[in-house]
Parts: sequence; C-alpha cells; structure tokens
Amino acid sequence: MSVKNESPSKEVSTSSTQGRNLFSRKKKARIGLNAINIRSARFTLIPVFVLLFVFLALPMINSVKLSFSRWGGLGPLEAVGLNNYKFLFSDPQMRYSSRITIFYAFTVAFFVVAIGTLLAAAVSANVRGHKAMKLIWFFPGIAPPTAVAIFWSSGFQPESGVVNILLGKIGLGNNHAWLASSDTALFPVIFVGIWSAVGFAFLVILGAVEQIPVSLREAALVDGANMRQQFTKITLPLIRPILMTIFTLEIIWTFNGFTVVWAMTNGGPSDSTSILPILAYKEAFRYGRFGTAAAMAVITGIFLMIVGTIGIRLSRSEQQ
Amino acid sequence: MRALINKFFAQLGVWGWTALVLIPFFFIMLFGTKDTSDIYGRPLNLLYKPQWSNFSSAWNVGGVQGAIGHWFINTGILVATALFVSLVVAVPAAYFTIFLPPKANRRVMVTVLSGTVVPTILLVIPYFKAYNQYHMLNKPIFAGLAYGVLAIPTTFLLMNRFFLDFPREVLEAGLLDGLSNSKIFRKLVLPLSVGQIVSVGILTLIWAWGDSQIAIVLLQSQESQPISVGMLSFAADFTTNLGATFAGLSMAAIPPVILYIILSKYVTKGIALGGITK
Repeated sequence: MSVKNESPSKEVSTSSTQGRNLFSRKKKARIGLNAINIRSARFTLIPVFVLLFVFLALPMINSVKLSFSRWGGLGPLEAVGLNNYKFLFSDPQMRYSSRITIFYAFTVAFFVVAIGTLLAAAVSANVRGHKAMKLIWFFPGIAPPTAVAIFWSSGFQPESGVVNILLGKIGLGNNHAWLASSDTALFPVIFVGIWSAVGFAFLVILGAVEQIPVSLREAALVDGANMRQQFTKITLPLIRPILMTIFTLEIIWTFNGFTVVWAMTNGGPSDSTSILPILAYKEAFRYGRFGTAAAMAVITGIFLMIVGTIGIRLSRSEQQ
Repeated sequence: MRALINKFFAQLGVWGWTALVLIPFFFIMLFGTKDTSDIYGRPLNLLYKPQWSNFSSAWNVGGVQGAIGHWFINTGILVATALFVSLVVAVPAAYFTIFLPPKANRRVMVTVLSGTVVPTILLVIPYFKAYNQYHMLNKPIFAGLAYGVLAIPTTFLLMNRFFLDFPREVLEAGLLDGLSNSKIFRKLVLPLSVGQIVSVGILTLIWAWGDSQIAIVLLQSQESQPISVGMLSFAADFTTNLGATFAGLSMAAIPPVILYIILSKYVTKGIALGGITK
C-alpha cells in the first residue's frame, strides 16, 4: 500500500519536469488532455462510488443497525438496545470462538509468511527445478477451496484417508481421527489453511526479493558471506516491510476465511472449529437469530480494523 | 562444505514442499478413476483398471441428472457477471482518474482502498435481507453482481496504478491526431492494456470461482448453486461412493489448474503487481 502512495507524487515530479521541456504545442495538448478528461473522470467515478456505497457502505450501516435489533428473517426489526452485545460478552461459545479465531488466524499467517519466505529464498538462490516449482506451488491457490478442503477432510479420516494411509506406511499408525475429536479438529484445519495460502504469499515475497539488486548480494559473497548469512543479513532486512504487510493481510484473510473451514468441518465437532464467520453464519442461517449474528459480525469487523491499522502502521514505520 | 550442506537442505525443502502441494491433485485423479472397494483395499496400487463410470455417477450427483453441469453453468454465469461488472465499471474510471490533480487521485484511491478490507461476514446478512426483499435470491446473475462490485476496488487500484505509468506521449500523439478523449481511451489505451486487464481479471475469476461465503447465502436453492457450494454436498458422501466423490472433485479442481498453467504468465504478473492490494 505504501508503495502505491508514492506513485502519484512520483507522477507529479515527472510530468512537471517533462512539461517544462515540451514545446508549446505539446503543452497545449497536455492541457486539453487534462481539462476534458477531468470531466470524464467525474463521470466514470459516479458508478464506482454509487455501487460501492450500495454494496459496501449501506450493508455495513445495516449490519450495525441489525446488531441492535432482534430479527428472525421476516417482518420488521425489533429494537433491543445492547442486549445482543451483552449476551455475546457473557456467552462461553463466543469467547471460545474468538479465542480460536485469533489463534487460527495468527498461526496460519505466521507459517504462511515463514514458509513463503524460505521458499522465496530457495528460489532466488536458484535451486534446481525452480521454474517448474514456481508454477506448481500456486496450484493450491488456484484450485477451488471447496474442492481441496473436501479432499483434505477425506484425507484426515482414519484408515481410508490419504494422510493416515501415508502415515501408516511409515509406521506412525493409520487410525488418527483428528477431525472427529473436538480437541484436535482445529489442527487439520490450520494445516489446510497454511497449505492453500503459501503459494500466494510466496509469489509476493519472491517479487520483493527479486527487486533487491543482485550487486548487493554479490558484494556480500565477495566479502565471504555464505548463503545463510547472505539471506539473514541482506535479504531479510530488506524485505521486512513487505513481510509485515503480507502478514497483516494473511491475518485479515484467514480471519475472514469461511470456505476452507466450512467445507472441512462445518464448524464441528460440537462447534470446536467454529471460527467467528462460521459462528455468525450458523447463528443467522441455521438458528434464524440475525440480530446476534450481526453483532458477531460487527465485533469481527472492529477487531479486523484494529489489526489492519496496527499492521499498516508497523509496515510503514519499518519502511522509514 | 557448509555451503554444500545448506544447498542440500534447501533442495530437500523445496522438493518436500512440492510433494506436499501435489499430493491432493495426485490422489484426486488416482482415486477418481478407481473402484471404491479398491480405494479401501489397495489405495496406493498404481496398476489398476480405470473406473470411468465414477465420472458419470459424479456427473449425476445426488440422483439429479447432470447436477455438476448445472453447477458449472451457474458458476459460469456468476463469474462472467462479476468480470463484466468489475471491468466495465472500474477500468474506465481508473483510466480517467489519472487526469485528476494528484491530491484528488490519491483521495479517490484511499477511499476505494478502504473497500478492500471490509469483512465479508459484515456484508452477507444485509445482502440476504435486501436480496430477499427485492426477489433477487437464487439467481446467479445477481450473486455475480455482488461479486463484481466487491472486485471493483482491487480492479480499480491495479488498473489505476498501471495507467499512471502509461506513457503520456502516446495520449498526446492521439490528441494531436484529432482523436477525441473517449476515442483515445478506446482505440489507443485499451489495446495496449490487454495484458494488465487479463492479469487483473484472472484475480477476480479465481476468487469468484472459488468463494462460497456469499454464494451459500445468496444461492440457496439446489438449481441455482455454483460449483463451490454444490460440491459441499459431496462431503456428506464419503463412505458410500468414494470413487465418484473424487471424480467430482477432479472435475471441479482440474480445469482451473489447466487454465492457470496456460495463462500462468498473466497470473504471476497480476500477483506480483497487486498482491499487496488484493
């Protein structure tokens, strides 16, 4: 994001220096270009803002309104003040779900960034086969999340599941029923969350690594640094801002994530994997309590805004 | 010596990760062509007679003739609508915004950017309420409209960034040749932006194809479901007909992967460009 903020200012400087050097005929052309296009800009921006208002701002306002009401899916809203929030703050399931959502999001984001960085480092060091690997590693990001989640959820079944079959082959037993117990069900879900998100983070991080001038790394090699030192002393410090940003975004996306968890467990067994979006979905569309569901959504939104703001601040200050 | 050991572990690591990535795709295809009793009995056996009938039973999942076909059509309608809405609305706006004074351009960008971090769960309940009220539920085209609008911020930001770096000389040349401003956009700028538009469009396509959170709320009836939601009914089917389940999964998962391999140049570029803003 910070990268983007720079581009308009960069544009000013280049266009003004160019403007000074141009012939007057071209200058006139530029003025014509701007004046008429500003009207077009206003005209084409109207649908953008109208649609974003209708599909983003309005629903958010309605969610907040709904969170102070009782609504069963039909008829008018019934105002209940702070009751929904009061109920949620004392509800053990809500507390449990908030805890596991935070745990889930931070664990996935941490491993995604860590693995993505290691893979990017390996590829930038030209490991054998890196061209094909770059292609293959994004497969999980391209396949529909529902399909891969269903595969993995079958894979974690005892005996018939692929994971258990493979573990059995190497002598670790083939009847682990992780998804059937509320103590362990979260771990396969975390694994699939990481598995499907690494490819994207890897490509972004690799993009950042490849922007580091080769001369810098070569200089380190000349100075006698080995591969690991080169990575920890040069690459890592230079890509830290981008790591911070992608870490924040991964938290937000995982926090928001619905499909993988829903397809693997439906939030079960006994709500042990019901992260907040799933808890809210069930509350609304299974139990018809749209008011409490909206309150959950609002709490989720506020939390995400806090995480997002802190993350962006941190990556900004890193950059300076 | 140290360097050699490092190199060895790096190589081992990348091979390990590659294997982990490929496991599902390999087994989806293997089990999708195997007899169910064979999957239980000799799952890893590679010498077997392919059981193509898995695909026909998957095609008629749940006893509905051509159920997967319908899901594909619904997904197609949804994705096409989303692409149409996001591109037609966001691309011209992203282009003409570059002529605004830098400060205004920046203000527009920040406003649009805030749209990328709204949690979906805050939106789906009001969507359901409004769609229900205006009789828009269970119609893939209207669900696609929602996906399209939610893709506008990303599309706008990536295209705006691209157009800002667009050589102004080209535009000026067009003006001197007597082209109108809208003609400059259509005849000069658009043809030169095809690559970028494809990259950005693919990001939208991947997302709209795979997401189920909005579709599960807006497309509840069996006949209106897209593949991402319809497949959820597979999950209930594990024990009865594993072979058909995997055949179904491969029909859903393999086409996007093939499309990606063909268009990978654009995908990688799109992500490198805009990974951060998605």
